[in-house]
Amino acid sequence: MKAEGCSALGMVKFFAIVLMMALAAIVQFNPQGAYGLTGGRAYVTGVVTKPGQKVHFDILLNYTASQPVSSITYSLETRNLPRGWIAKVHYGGQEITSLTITNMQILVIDLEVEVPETEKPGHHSFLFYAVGRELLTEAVSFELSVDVEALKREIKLSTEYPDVTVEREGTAKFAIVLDNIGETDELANLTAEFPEGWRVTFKGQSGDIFGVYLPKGRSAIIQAEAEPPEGVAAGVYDFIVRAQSSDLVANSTLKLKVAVVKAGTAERMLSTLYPELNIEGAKIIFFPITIRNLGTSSLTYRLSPLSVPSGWTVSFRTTPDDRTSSISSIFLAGGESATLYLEAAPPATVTLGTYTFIVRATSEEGASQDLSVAVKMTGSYDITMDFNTLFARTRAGETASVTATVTNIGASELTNVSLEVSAPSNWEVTKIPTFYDTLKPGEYKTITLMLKAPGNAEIGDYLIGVRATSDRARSTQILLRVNVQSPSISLWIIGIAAIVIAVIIIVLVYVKFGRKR
Amino acid sequence: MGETLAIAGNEMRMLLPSWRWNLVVALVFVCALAGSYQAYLTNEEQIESFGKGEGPEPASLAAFASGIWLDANAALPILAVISGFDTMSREKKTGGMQLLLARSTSKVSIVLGKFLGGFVPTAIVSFSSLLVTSGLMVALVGPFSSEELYRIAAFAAVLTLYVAVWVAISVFISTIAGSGMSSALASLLLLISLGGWSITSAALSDFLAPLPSFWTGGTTWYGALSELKVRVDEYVNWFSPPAVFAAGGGALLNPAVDVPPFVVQSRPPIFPVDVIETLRNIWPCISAMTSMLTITLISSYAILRTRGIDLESGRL
Repeated sequence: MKAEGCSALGMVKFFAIVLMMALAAIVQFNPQGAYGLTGGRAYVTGVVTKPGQKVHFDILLNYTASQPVSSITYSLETRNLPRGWIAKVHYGGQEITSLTITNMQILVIDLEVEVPETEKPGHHSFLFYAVGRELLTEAVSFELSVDVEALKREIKLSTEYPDVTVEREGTAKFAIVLDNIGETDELANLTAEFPEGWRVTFKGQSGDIFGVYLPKGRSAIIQAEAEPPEGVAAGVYDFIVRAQSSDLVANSTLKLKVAVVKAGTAERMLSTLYPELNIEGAKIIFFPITIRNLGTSSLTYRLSPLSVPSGWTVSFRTTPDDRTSSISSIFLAGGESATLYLEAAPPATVTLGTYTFIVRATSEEGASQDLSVAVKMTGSYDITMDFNTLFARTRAGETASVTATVTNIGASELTNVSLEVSAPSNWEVTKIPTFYDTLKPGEYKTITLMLKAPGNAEIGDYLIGVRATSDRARSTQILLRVNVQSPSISLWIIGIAAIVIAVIIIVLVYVKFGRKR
Repeated sequence: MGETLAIAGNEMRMLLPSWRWNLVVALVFVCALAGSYQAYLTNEEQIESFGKGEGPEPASLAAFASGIWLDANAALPILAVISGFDTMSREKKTGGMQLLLARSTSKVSIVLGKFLGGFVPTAIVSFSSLLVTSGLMVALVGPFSSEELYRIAAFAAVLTLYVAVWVAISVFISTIAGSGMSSALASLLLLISLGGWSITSAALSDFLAPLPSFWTGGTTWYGALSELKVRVDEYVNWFSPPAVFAAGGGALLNPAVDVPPFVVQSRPPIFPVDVIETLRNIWPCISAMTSMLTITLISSYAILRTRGIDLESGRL
């Protein structure tokens, strides 16, 4: 037989073969050459919503190819979407139109569908498509449906003080709140039922009103005034205030009582329903205060804080929501009353305790009255914990480490902050550091947990419960999953044994057949 | 039988000292080492991702699949081609074929002997590379569960069948080729073209069932054409050994795959799919590769028999 030589022609042939082999390998690993399987499903395929709202579908996409290095890019689109509807796909916090998935990766994307406000109630379905760009056969589609329901329409009348006392010559005034708790804007007409001879008017900011336009979710304060007839007898009189939309779908009624008393029997010029409030943590507090003109002539009252704890700021507001203007004086006609709010804002360094405020109302005639209110500030202690990973892997006799971040989400400082670990018996748990002396509100710190599995631990998954603790608060327990494998030495022995067997097989074959006869 | 084994033994003695064959054997083990290391790194990343609630749970089988794929899809088919590409053409060139025929050796024995002479060492190298990859995965990633071991054993059988198909194809090409070089080129060209078969099948399905871009889903025609397009792609894939092997082998190494690509699903999947269910699902793939092997060997015999051989020149 002619021996194989290294002639020039032989070398050319050899390099040609090597080139072909390289090409073959490249083609084999071209993503186009992968044989894949597109999988996908929507966790929820039908949702109920209302016009003007957005619905979300969580869609899972996965691509399983025969070659682990391959990936595929999907174009994402919806078809047969009803006219006027808008669909957007989000992933990783941004809107996307296509997505590349690597092999064996599972991604969850968010399909957001906006239903126009003008959409009528009914069932609507459309298709979601994820079509592979490289290979159109790699595609997945779902039919998704949205049931559009009619919007809720509801308004509600309420008042803090439905029962008021007036003198015979006075006017009963009610601060009525009209809330639109429905899902559409409403134009509400105001009407009232009242005893014969009485006169009832509704007042807004611009004067007398009989209708209120309320966008959804908003509220309006209406002042209702009930003026008794001349020579009205002392007693209790019932009133009904009604608000209703023009098509009568949304309506609400409110019962009011007016007690007519003789002049001079009304109680105090300055009063409050809640002279002491308890709160947790540092918050702004509002005390509702009623100021009454006990006389028969109109007067202006000046309002002033007389005693305020150090660092606190106080203001008089018309409503708790009004953060732009504060009141320093108020004009009240004879017999009128008004409700104001005393806003008390604590300093940033406020400590726990009871704080007393004294405010004074002084009429232009010089009459004055003081009102004392107090707030008791109690502590709020809360702690939360998070891990860098909820899964760790180790071997019997070896240590896995995870890092916990503990955060003070309460309003008070926490002391002696540590981790409480519930590990299986014979596990060694080390905390680095063991504890923190203090943790200020909003502050966070990390503790590293070293979890050492016993040398004789059985192979498998172990759950280890961890919670953050302090002297005053504990977090909820978080379960860590630690996967324990065989001791590395024994695995290496098994692995090397397999390789040695392979080498022995190859050597035996070469010994037997490796020489030409 | 004796003639067949004698021819096979001679063939192995010619093959094993060959520098070409040894070069590709080295390539196989380098691929096994590189693939295993890459699989180890991927596994480490998967552990990190899984702990953050992203990605699938890392498994030793997934790491093994990643580690062996380079060998199974690239190095071992090339080794199989190297094992058989000049079995017949060498004999024709050196006069060995005339000698065999002069001894009244059966043509069946010649074909089977040449096939076995290439297949047995290739299968041994294939098995050894599986052992090396498995051993490295056990040491670096972790032990396999019994279910995973069954899957690896089944994969080893399917891989052996796949390697046999390529040895048979290269023997067949060697039977009809004029020289060893033309046989090698033809075999490797076939390997390349069949390796990229999904491009061919997709192009064919696009050609036979084109979907105009202005059509939208939901219409009757669109649905029918989409279905036809998928069917064409499925059927065309059955002509490619790499495609069939990738479908079957991929399903064996990935329990998340209920039915491999282009195999018709007969019933709803039940997850996790056990190895018996997977074997049932990929049975068409195994049958297809067995058919390819049988048809190729019979074709080699038929050519040897019908075309005859010039005893003086050695030409078919």
